[in-house]
Amino acid sequence: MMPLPKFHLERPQSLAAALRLLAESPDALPLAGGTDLLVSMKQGLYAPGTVVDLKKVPELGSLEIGAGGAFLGAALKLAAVRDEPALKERYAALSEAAAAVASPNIQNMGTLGGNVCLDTRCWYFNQSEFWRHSKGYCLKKDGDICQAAPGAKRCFAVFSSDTAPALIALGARAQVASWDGESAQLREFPLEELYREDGISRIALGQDELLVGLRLPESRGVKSGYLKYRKRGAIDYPLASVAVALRMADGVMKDVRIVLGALASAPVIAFEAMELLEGAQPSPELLTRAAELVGKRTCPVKNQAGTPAHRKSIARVYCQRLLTGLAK
Amino acid sequence: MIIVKMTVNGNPIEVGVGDEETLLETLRQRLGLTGTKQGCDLGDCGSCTVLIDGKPALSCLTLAADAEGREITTIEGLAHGEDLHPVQRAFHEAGAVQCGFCTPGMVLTAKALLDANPNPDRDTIKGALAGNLCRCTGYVKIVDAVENAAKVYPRARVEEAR
Repeated sequence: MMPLPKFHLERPQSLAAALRLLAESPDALPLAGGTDLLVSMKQGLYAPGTVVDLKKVPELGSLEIGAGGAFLGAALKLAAVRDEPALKERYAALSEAAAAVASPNIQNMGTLGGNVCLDTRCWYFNQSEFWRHSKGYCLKKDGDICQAAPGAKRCFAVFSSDTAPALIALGARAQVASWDGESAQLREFPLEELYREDGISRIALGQDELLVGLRLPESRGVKSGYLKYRKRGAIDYPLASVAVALRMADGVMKDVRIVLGALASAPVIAFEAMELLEGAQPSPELLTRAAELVGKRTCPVKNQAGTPAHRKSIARVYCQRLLTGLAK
Repeated sequence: MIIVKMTVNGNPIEVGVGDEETLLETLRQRLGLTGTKQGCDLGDCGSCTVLIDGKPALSCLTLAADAEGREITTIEGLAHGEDLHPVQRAFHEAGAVQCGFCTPGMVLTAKALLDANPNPDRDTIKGALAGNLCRCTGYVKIVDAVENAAKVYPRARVEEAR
Protein backbone atom coordinates (compact mmCIF):
# COMPACT_ATOMS: atom_id res chain seq x y z
CA MET A 1 0.00 0.00 0.00
CA MET A 2 1.20 3.45 -0.89
CA PRO A 3 -1.19 5.86 0.89
CA LEU A 4 -1.05 9.54 0.06
CA PRO A 5 0.31 11.83 2.78
CA LYS A 6 -2.23 14.08 4.50
CA PHE A 7 -3.09 17.32 2.72
CA HIS A 8 -5.85 19.86 2.43
CA LEU A 9 -7.67 19.71 -0.93
CA GLU A 10 -8.82 22.95 -2.59
CA ARG A 11 -10.94 22.92 -5.72
CA PRO A 12 -11.04 26.45 -7.14
CA GLN A 13 -13.60 27.30 -9.84
CA SER A 14 -11.62 30.01 -11.63
CA LEU A 15 -8.07 30.79 -12.69
CA ALA A 16 -7.94 33.82 -10.36
CA ALA A 17 -9.05 31.72 -7.37
CA ALA A 18 -6.45 29.05 -8.17
CA LEU A 19 -3.64 31.61 -8.45
CA ARG A 20 -4.68 33.31 -5.21
CA LEU A 21 -4.66 29.98 -3.36
CA LEU A 22 -1.18 29.18 -4.67
CA ALA A 23 0.12 32.68 -3.86
CA GLU A 24 -1.28 32.61 -0.33
CA SER A 25 -0.05 29.15 0.66
CA PRO A 26 3.70 28.72 0.07
CA ASP A 27 3.45 24.94 0.60
CA ALA A 28 0.68 24.43 -1.97
CA LEU A 29 1.15 22.48 -5.20
CA PRO A 30 -1.12 22.49 -8.26
CA LEU A 31 -2.69 19.19 -9.33
CA ALA A 32 -4.12 18.42 -12.78
CA GLY A 33 -4.40 14.81 -13.98
CA GLY A 34 -2.49 13.49 -10.98
CA THR A 35 -0.54 10.84 -12.88
CA ASP A 36 2.82 12.46 -12.02
CA LEU A 37 2.34 14.39 -8.77
CA LEU A 38 0.24 11.80 -6.89
CA VAL A 39 2.80 9.08 -7.65
CA SER A 40 5.62 11.26 -6.28
CA MET A 41 3.54 12.11 -3.22
CA LYS A 42 2.92 8.41 -2.55
CA GLN A 43 6.69 7.89 -2.70
CA GLY A 44 7.20 10.65 -0.14
CA LEU A 45 8.94 12.98 -2.60
CA TYR A 46 6.51 15.85 -2.06
CA ALA A 47 4.31 16.61 0.93
CA PRO A 48 2.34 19.76 0.12
CA GLY A 49 0.13 21.13 2.91
CA THR A 50 -2.45 22.14 0.31
CA VAL A 51 -3.19 20.60 -3.07
CA VAL A 52 -4.91 22.94 -5.52
CA ASP A 53 -6.93 20.78 -7.91
CA LEU A 54 -7.19 22.53 -11.28
CA LYS A 55 -9.86 20.26 -12.84
CA LYS A 56 -12.68 22.75 -12.31
CA VAL A 57 -10.81 25.79 -13.67
CA PRO A 58 -12.62 26.54 -16.96
CA GLU A 59 -9.87 28.82 -18.36
CA LEU A 60 -7.49 25.85 -18.64
CA GLY A 61 -9.76 23.66 -20.77
CA SER A 62 -10.02 25.54 -24.07
CA LEU A 63 -9.26 24.01 -27.47
CA GLU A 64 -9.25 26.40 -30.42
CA ILE A 65 -8.01 25.31 -33.81
CA GLY A 66 -8.32 27.85 -36.60
CA ALA A 67 -6.66 29.11 -39.77
CA GLY A 68 -4.14 31.16 -37.79
CA GLY A 69 -2.93 28.36 -35.52
CA ALA A 70 -4.19 26.65 -32.38
CA PHE A 71 -4.52 27.27 -28.67
CA LEU A 72 -4.51 24.20 -26.43
CA GLY A 73 -5.55 24.60 -22.80
CA ALA A 74 -3.19 23.12 -20.23
CA ALA A 75 -5.92 20.94 -18.72
CA LEU A 76 -6.77 19.16 -21.99
CA LYS A 77 -6.47 15.43 -21.53
CA LEU A 78 -3.67 13.77 -23.47
CA ALA A 79 -6.30 11.46 -25.00
CA ALA A 80 -8.15 14.49 -26.39
CA VAL A 81 -4.92 15.86 -27.92
CA ARG A 82 -4.15 12.41 -29.34
CA ASP A 83 -7.60 11.94 -30.90
CA GLU A 84 -8.25 15.43 -32.33
CA PRO A 85 -8.24 14.95 -36.14
CA ALA A 86 -7.20 18.56 -36.92
CA LEU A 87 -4.15 18.24 -34.66
CA LYS A 88 -3.25 14.90 -36.23
CA GLU A 89 -3.37 16.48 -39.67
CA ARG A 90 -1.54 19.76 -38.95
CA TYR A 91 0.67 19.01 -35.95
CA ALA A 92 1.45 15.30 -36.34
CA ALA A 93 4.41 15.35 -33.95
CA LEU A 94 2.21 16.53 -31.07
CA SER A 95 -0.46 13.94 -31.80
CA GLU A 96 2.17 11.18 -31.96
CA ALA A 97 3.82 12.39 -28.76
CA ALA A 98 0.51 12.43 -26.85
CA ALA A 99 -0.16 8.86 -28.06
CA ALA A 100 3.28 7.79 -26.77
CA VAL A 101 2.79 8.98 -23.18
CA ALA A 102 2.62 6.05 -20.72
CA SER A 103 -0.50 4.00 -21.61
CA PRO A 104 -3.92 4.74 -23.12
CA ASN A 105 -5.53 4.61 -19.67
CA ILE A 106 -3.08 7.20 -18.35
CA GLN A 107 -3.71 9.34 -21.44
CA ASN A 108 -7.37 9.41 -20.30
CA MET A 109 -6.22 11.02 -17.05
CA GLY A 110 -3.02 12.99 -17.67
CA THR A 111 -3.15 16.50 -19.11
CA LEU A 112 -1.12 18.30 -21.76
CA GLY A 113 -0.04 20.96 -19.24
CA GLY A 114 0.96 18.30 -16.75
CA ASN A 115 3.16 16.62 -19.34
CA VAL A 116 4.71 19.95 -20.35
CA CYS A 117 5.44 20.74 -16.67
CA LEU A 118 6.48 17.16 -15.88
CA ASP A 119 8.89 16.69 -12.99
CA THR A 120 12.41 15.53 -13.88
CA ARG A 121 13.19 11.86 -13.26
CA CYS A 122 16.16 9.84 -12.02
CA TRP A 123 16.82 6.28 -10.84
CA TYR A 124 17.93 7.63 -7.49
CA PHE A 125 14.97 10.02 -7.02
CA ASN A 126 11.80 8.28 -8.23
CA GLN A 127 11.85 5.59 -5.55
CA SER A 128 10.01 4.93 -2.31
CA GLU A 129 11.17 6.47 0.98
CA PHE A 130 12.33 2.98 2.04
CA TRP A 131 14.49 2.59 -1.09
CA ARG A 132 16.01 6.07 -0.87
CA HIS A 133 16.71 5.71 2.84
CA SER A 134 18.56 2.44 2.19
CA LYS A 135 20.57 3.67 -0.79
CA GLY A 136 21.22 7.17 0.52
CA TYR A 137 19.38 10.38 -0.26
CA CYS A 138 20.23 12.51 -3.30
CA LEU A 139 20.62 16.20 -4.13
CA LYS A 140 17.05 16.53 -5.35
CA LYS A 141 15.50 15.17 -2.15
CA ASP A 142 16.88 15.18 1.41
CA GLY A 143 20.55 14.55 0.48
CA ASP A 144 23.66 16.58 -0.25
CA ILE A 145 25.32 14.45 -2.94
CA CYS A 146 24.24 13.37 -6.40
CA GLN A 147 23.98 9.57 -6.47
CA ALA A 148 24.13 9.46 -10.27
CA ALA A 149 27.21 11.66 -10.72
CA PRO A 150 29.05 11.86 -7.39
CA GLY A 151 30.86 15.16 -7.05
CA ALA A 152 28.38 16.93 -9.32
CA LYS A 153 27.28 20.39 -8.22
CA ARG A 154 23.86 20.11 -9.81
CA CYS A 155 21.07 17.60 -10.31
CA PHE A 156 21.09 15.58 -13.56
CA ALA A 157 17.51 14.27 -13.29
CA VAL A 158 16.06 13.90 -16.79
CA PHE A 159 13.20 15.88 -18.28
CA SER A 160 11.06 13.05 -19.67
CA SER A 161 8.10 14.79 -21.27
CA ASP A 162 6.96 13.45 -24.64
CA THR A 163 4.86 16.42 -25.69
CA ALA A 164 7.38 19.19 -24.84
CA PRO A 165 9.95 18.29 -27.54
CA ALA A 166 7.13 17.99 -30.10
CA LEU A 167 5.62 21.33 -29.08
CA ILE A 168 9.00 23.10 -29.20
CA ALA A 169 9.73 21.62 -32.64
CA LEU A 170 6.35 22.97 -33.79
CA GLY A 171 7.22 26.44 -32.49
CA ALA A 172 4.76 26.50 -29.56
CA ARG A 173 4.54 29.43 -27.16
CA ALA A 174 3.59 28.99 -23.51
CA GLN A 175 0.88 31.16 -21.98
CA VAL A 176 1.52 31.64 -18.28
CA ALA A 177 -0.70 33.37 -15.72
CA SER A 178 0.70 34.99 -12.60
CA TRP A 179 -0.99 36.65 -9.63
CA ASP A 180 -0.31 40.34 -9.02
CA GLY A 181 -2.25 40.45 -5.75
CA GLU A 182 -5.56 41.34 -7.39
CA SER A 183 -5.95 39.58 -10.70
CA ALA A 184 -4.38 37.14 -13.13
CA GLN A 185 -1.77 38.57 -15.50
CA LEU A 186 -1.09 36.66 -18.71
CA ARG A 187 2.14 36.54 -20.66
CA GLU A 188 3.43 34.45 -23.56
CA PHE A 189 6.92 33.33 -24.49
CA PRO A 190 8.57 30.54 -26.53
CA LEU A 191 8.04 27.23 -24.75
CA GLU A 192 11.78 26.43 -24.66
CA GLU A 193 12.26 29.38 -22.28
CA LEU A 194 10.13 27.58 -19.68
CA TYR A 195 12.90 25.06 -19.02
CA ARG A 196 16.20 25.20 -17.17
CA GLU A 197 19.09 22.77 -17.45
CA ASP A 198 18.81 21.85 -13.78
CA GLY A 199 17.01 18.78 -12.45
CA ILE A 200 15.83 20.59 -9.31
CA SER A 201 14.71 24.09 -10.39
CA ARG A 202 13.67 22.62 -13.70
CA ILE A 203 10.98 25.04 -14.71
CA ALA A 204 10.73 28.83 -14.75
CA LEU A 205 7.38 29.07 -12.98
CA GLY A 206 6.94 30.86 -9.66
CA GLN A 207 4.79 29.61 -6.77
CA ASP A 208 1.96 31.93 -7.87
CA GLU A 209 2.15 31.04 -11.56
CA LEU A 210 0.35 28.50 -13.71
CA LEU A 211 0.68 27.33 -17.30
CA VAL A 212 -2.62 28.28 -18.97
CA GLY A 213 -2.03 26.78 -22.39
CA LEU A 214 0.11 26.36 -25.49
CA ARG A 215 -0.21 28.44 -28.63
CA LEU A 216 0.81 26.80 -31.90
CA PRO A 217 1.58 28.86 -35.01
CA GLU A 218 -0.20 28.33 -38.31
CA SER A 219 1.04 25.02 -39.72
CA ARG A 220 1.79 26.37 -43.28
CA GLY A 221 2.54 22.96 -44.73
CA VAL A 222 4.95 22.00 -41.94
CA LYS A 223 5.45 18.23 -41.71
CA SER A 224 6.43 16.85 -38.34
CA GLY A 225 6.97 13.62 -36.45
CA TYR A 226 7.97 12.23 -33.06
CA LEU A 227 9.77 9.01 -32.15
CA LYS A 228 10.30 7.68 -28.64
CA TYR A 229 12.69 5.01 -27.39
CA ARG A 230 11.84 2.96 -24.29
CA LYS A 231 12.31 -0.59 -23.04
CA ARG A 232 8.63 -1.59 -23.18
CA GLY A 233 6.15 -0.54 -25.84
CA ALA A 234 4.00 1.27 -23.26
CA ILE A 235 3.96 2.68 -19.73
CA ASP A 236 7.67 3.64 -19.66
CA TYR A 237 9.03 7.15 -19.80
CA PRO A 238 11.34 7.82 -22.77
CA LEU A 239 15.04 6.93 -22.61
CA ALA A 240 15.55 9.15 -25.64
CA SER A 241 13.14 10.88 -27.98
CA VAL A 242 13.28 13.08 -31.05
CA ALA A 243 10.82 15.54 -32.58
CA VAL A 244 11.39 16.98 -36.05
CA ALA A 245 9.41 19.61 -37.95
CA LEU A 246 10.22 21.00 -41.38
CA ARG A 247 8.64 22.39 -44.53
CA MET A 248 9.60 21.54 -48.12
CA ALA A 249 9.65 24.48 -50.55
CA ASP A 250 11.00 24.19 -54.13
CA GLY A 251 12.91 21.05 -53.22
CA VAL A 252 14.72 22.52 -50.21
CA MET A 253 14.09 22.17 -46.48
CA LYS A 254 12.81 25.25 -44.62
CA ASP A 255 12.06 26.08 -40.96
CA VAL A 256 13.83 22.92 -39.80
CA ARG A 257 13.41 22.25 -36.07
CA ILE A 258 14.93 19.25 -34.27
CA VAL A 259 14.38 18.78 -30.54
CA LEU A 260 15.60 15.95 -28.30
CA GLY A 261 13.81 14.71 -25.21
CA ALA A 262 14.94 12.69 -22.19
CA LEU A 263 18.65 13.34 -22.78
CA ALA A 264 19.11 16.26 -20.36
CA SER A 265 17.26 18.14 -17.61
CA ALA A 266 15.53 20.22 -20.30
CA PRO A 267 14.55 19.64 -23.94
CA VAL A 268 17.60 20.02 -26.20
CA ILE A 269 17.35 21.98 -29.44
CA ALA A 270 19.81 20.58 -31.99
CA PHE A 271 20.93 23.93 -33.48
CA GLU A 272 23.94 22.53 -35.39
CA ALA A 273 21.84 19.98 -37.25
CA MET A 274 19.09 22.55 -37.92
CA GLU A 275 21.61 25.02 -39.40
CA LEU A 276 23.13 22.37 -41.63
CA LEU A 277 19.73 21.43 -43.08
CA GLU A 278 18.13 24.87 -43.39
CA GLY A 279 17.71 25.79 -47.05
CA ALA A 280 19.48 22.63 -48.25
CA GLN A 281 18.28 19.95 -50.65
CA PRO A 282 17.78 16.67 -48.78
CA SER A 283 20.17 13.86 -49.71
CA PRO A 284 20.86 10.67 -47.75
CA GLU A 285 24.44 11.84 -47.02
CA LEU A 286 23.29 15.25 -45.73
CA LEU A 287 20.59 13.76 -43.50
CA THR A 288 23.13 11.31 -42.06
CA ARG A 289 25.56 14.16 -41.35
CA ALA A 290 22.79 16.18 -39.68
CA ALA A 291 21.73 13.24 -37.52
CA GLU A 292 25.32 12.84 -36.35
CA LEU A 293 25.22 16.40 -35.00
CA VAL A 294 22.10 16.05 -32.83
CA GLY A 295 23.87 14.73 -29.74
CA LYS A 296 26.40 17.60 -29.68
CA ARG A 297 24.67 19.68 -27.02
CA THR A 298 23.91 17.00 -24.48
CA CYS A 299 25.90 14.83 -22.14
CA PRO A 300 23.52 12.55 -20.21
CA VAL A 301 24.72 10.63 -17.14
CA LYS A 302 23.90 7.05 -16.13
CA ASN A 303 20.64 7.64 -14.27
CA GLN A 304 18.13 5.79 -16.49
CA ALA A 305 18.03 2.33 -18.05
CA GLY A 306 20.52 2.01 -20.93
CA THR A 307 23.93 3.66 -21.11
CA PRO A 308 24.20 7.37 -21.99
CA ALA A 309 26.10 6.47 -25.17
CA HIS A 310 23.36 4.08 -26.24
CA ARG A 311 20.65 6.66 -25.60
CA LYS A 312 22.52 9.27 -27.65
CA SER A 313 23.08 6.86 -30.50
CA ILE A 314 19.36 5.97 -30.57
CA ALA A 315 18.58 9.70 -30.81
CA ARG A 316 20.83 9.86 -33.89
CA VAL A 317 19.10 6.86 -35.51
CA TYR A 318 15.60 8.17 -34.75
CA CYS A 319 16.51 11.63 -36.03
CA GLN A 320 17.69 10.18 -39.31
CA ARG A 321 14.55 8.05 -39.58
CA LEU A 322 12.31 11.08 -39.04
CA LEU A 323 14.26 13.29 -41.47
CA THR A 324 14.18 10.61 -44.16
CA GLY A 325 10.42 10.26 -43.77
CA LEU A 326 9.64 13.98 -43.69
CA ALA A 327 12.12 15.53 -46.17
CA LYS A 328 10.36 14.40 -49.35
CA MET B 1 -14.25 15.00 5.13
CA ILE B 2 -15.78 15.65 1.70
CA ILE B 3 -19.22 14.31 0.78
CA VAL B 4 -19.12 12.76 -2.69
CA LYS B 5 -22.21 11.86 -4.71
CA MET B 6 -21.50 9.39 -7.47
CA THR B 7 -23.07 6.44 -9.28
CA VAL B 8 -21.33 3.14 -8.70
CA ASN B 9 -22.44 0.29 -10.97
CA GLY B 10 -25.75 2.04 -11.58
CA ASN B 11 -26.47 2.75 -7.91
CA PRO B 12 -26.47 6.40 -6.81
CA ILE B 13 -24.48 6.67 -3.60
CA GLU B 14 -23.28 9.34 -1.23
CA VAL B 15 -20.12 8.71 0.72
CA GLY B 16 -17.82 10.72 2.97
CA VAL B 17 -14.17 10.61 1.89
CA GLY B 18 -10.90 12.09 3.13
CA ASP B 19 -9.08 14.83 1.18
CA GLU B 20 -6.19 12.49 0.41
CA GLU B 21 -8.31 9.40 -0.20
CA THR B 22 -8.05 7.68 -3.58
CA LEU B 23 -11.05 6.28 -5.40
CA LEU B 24 -9.44 2.84 -5.04
CA GLU B 25 -9.45 3.16 -1.24
CA THR B 26 -13.08 4.33 -1.27
CA LEU B 27 -14.20 1.43 -3.47
CA ARG B 28 -12.33 -1.25 -1.57
CA GLN B 29 -12.49 -0.04 2.00
CA ARG B 30 -15.66 2.03 2.31
CA LEU B 31 -17.86 0.30 -0.28
CA GLY B 32 -16.44 -3.23 0.07
CA LEU B 33 -15.99 -3.57 -3.71
CA THR B 34 -12.77 -5.56 -3.56
CA GLY B 35 -13.01 -6.74 -7.18
CA THR B 36 -10.95 -3.69 -8.06
CA LYS B 37 -7.39 -4.76 -7.25
CA GLN B 38 -4.61 -2.80 -5.67
CA GLY B 39 -1.38 -3.69 -7.44
CA CYS B 40 1.58 -1.31 -7.65
CA ASP B 41 -0.55 1.60 -6.36
CA LEU B 42 1.66 3.87 -8.48
CA GLY B 43 -0.11 3.91 -11.84
CA ASP B 44 2.10 1.37 -13.60
CA CYS B 45 0.24 -1.92 -13.57
CA GLY B 46 -3.39 -1.15 -14.43
CA SER B 47 -4.92 -3.66 -12.00
CA CYS B 48 -6.93 -0.86 -10.29
CA THR B 49 -8.58 0.17 -13.59
CA VAL B 50 -12.23 1.22 -13.32
CA LEU B 51 -14.46 2.97 -15.86
CA ILE B 52 -15.17 6.62 -15.10
CA ASP B 53 -18.01 7.82 -17.37
CA GLY B 54 -17.22 4.81 -19.57
CA LYS B 55 -13.50 5.51 -19.97
CA PRO B 56 -10.82 3.39 -18.30
CA ALA B 57 -8.92 5.22 -15.58
CA LEU B 58 -6.60 4.21 -12.77
CA SER B 59 -8.45 4.44 -9.46
CA CYS B 60 -5.16 4.48 -7.48
CA LEU B 61 -4.31 7.87 -9.00
CA THR B 62 -7.83 9.32 -8.89
CA LEU B 63 -8.82 11.32 -5.84
CA ALA B 64 -12.15 10.11 -4.48
CA ALA B 65 -13.28 13.75 -4.40
CA ASP B 66 -12.94 13.84 -8.20
CA ALA B 67 -15.59 11.13 -8.57
CA GLU B 68 -18.25 13.72 -7.71
CA GLY B 69 -21.10 13.40 -10.22
CA ARG B 70 -19.34 10.65 -12.15
CA GLU B 71 -20.53 7.24 -13.20
CA ILE B 72 -18.13 4.58 -11.93
CA THR B 73 -18.19 1.01 -13.26
CA THR B 74 -16.21 -1.65 -11.42
CA ILE B 75 -15.87 -5.32 -12.30
CA GLU B 76 -18.81 -6.06 -9.94
CA GLY B 77 -21.05 -4.05 -12.25
CA LEU B 78 -20.66 -6.16 -15.39
CA ALA B 79 -22.40 -9.48 -14.75
CA HIS B 80 -26.11 -9.82 -13.97
CA GLY B 81 -26.02 -12.53 -11.32
CA GLU B 82 -24.79 -15.70 -13.04
CA ASP B 83 -25.17 -14.11 -16.44
CA LEU B 84 -21.67 -12.98 -17.41
CA HIS B 85 -20.86 -9.97 -19.57
CA PRO B 86 -19.65 -11.08 -23.06
CA VAL B 87 -16.09 -10.00 -22.26
CA GLN B 88 -16.09 -11.97 -19.00
CA ARG B 89 -17.54 -14.98 -20.79
CA ALA B 90 -14.88 -14.75 -23.50
CA PHE B 91 -12.08 -14.55 -20.89
CA HIS B 92 -13.52 -17.63 -19.18
CA GLU B 93 -13.88 -19.61 -22.39
CA ALA B 94 -10.45 -18.66 -23.80
CA GLY B 95 -8.67 -19.49 -20.55
CA ALA B 96 -7.44 -15.92 -20.37
CA VAL B 97 -7.26 -16.02 -16.58
CA GLN B 98 -4.31 -17.45 -14.67
CA CYS B 99 -3.86 -15.98 -11.19
CA GLY B 100 -6.68 -13.55 -11.95
CA PHE B 101 -5.22 -10.45 -10.33
CA CYS B 102 -5.01 -8.39 -13.54
CA THR B 103 -8.34 -9.73 -14.86
CA PRO B 104 -10.73 -7.07 -13.50
CA GLY B 105 -8.63 -4.30 -15.06
CA MET B 106 -8.16 -6.23 -18.30
CA VAL B 107 -11.89 -6.95 -18.64
CA LEU B 108 -12.89 -3.32 -17.97
CA THR B 109 -10.31 -1.90 -20.38
CA ALA B 110 -11.44 -4.43 -23.02
CA LYS B 111 -15.10 -3.55 -22.43
CA ALA B 112 -14.37 0.16 -22.92
CA LEU B 113 -12.50 -0.66 -26.14
CA LEU B 114 -15.35 -2.75 -27.53
CA ASP B 115 -17.95 -0.15 -26.52
CA ALA B 116 -16.04 2.42 -28.60
CA ASN B 117 -14.87 0.09 -31.38
CA PRO B 118 -16.74 -3.23 -31.72
CA ASN B 119 -14.43 -4.51 -34.48
CA PRO B 120 -10.83 -3.95 -33.36
CA ASP B 121 -7.95 -5.77 -35.02
CA ARG B 122 -5.32 -7.57 -32.94
CA ASP B 123 -2.94 -4.62 -32.87
CA THR B 124 -5.69 -2.27 -31.71
CA ILE B 125 -6.54 -4.69 -28.89
CA LYS B 126 -2.89 -4.91 -27.85
CA GLY B 127 -2.59 -1.12 -27.95
CA ALA B 128 -5.69 -0.60 -25.83
CA LEU B 129 -4.50 -3.15 -23.24
CA ALA B 130 -0.93 -1.81 -23.18
CA GLY B 131 -1.42 -0.22 -19.76
CA ASN B 132 -2.63 -3.43 -18.11
CA LEU B 133 0.16 -5.77 -17.05
CA CYS B 134 -0.29 -9.54 -16.62
CA ARG B 135 2.61 -10.91 -14.55
CA CYS B 136 1.62 -14.46 -15.45
CA THR B 137 2.30 -13.15 -19.01
CA GLY B 138 -0.80 -14.81 -20.42
CA TYR B 139 -1.24 -12.11 -23.02
CA VAL B 140 -1.93 -14.32 -26.06
CA LYS B 141 -5.08 -15.76 -24.55
CA ILE B 142 -6.18 -12.37 -23.24
CA VAL B 143 -5.99 -10.91 -26.76
CA ASP B 144 -7.74 -14.06 -28.10
CA ALA B 145 -10.51 -13.50 -25.57
CA VAL B 146 -11.08 -9.90 -26.62
CA GLU B 147 -11.12 -10.97 -30.29
CA ASN B 148 -13.73 -13.63 -29.46
CA ALA B 149 -15.79 -11.15 -27.45
CA ALA B 150 -15.70 -8.76 -30.43
CA LYS B 151 -17.40 -11.43 -32.58
CA VAL B 152 -20.53 -11.31 -30.43
CA TYR B 153 -20.33 -7.60 -29.59
CA PRO B 154 -22.25 -5.40 -29.14
CA ARG B 155 -25.10 -7.88 -28.69
CA ALA B 156 -25.81 -7.91 -24.99
CA ARG B 157 -25.26 -11.56 -24.18
CA VAL B 158 -23.33 -14.41 -25.70
CA GLU B 159 -26.37 -16.71 -25.67
CA GLU B 160 -28.29 -14.41 -27.97
CA ALA B 161 -25.57 -14.74 -30.57
CA ARG B 162 -25.71 -18.50 -30.60
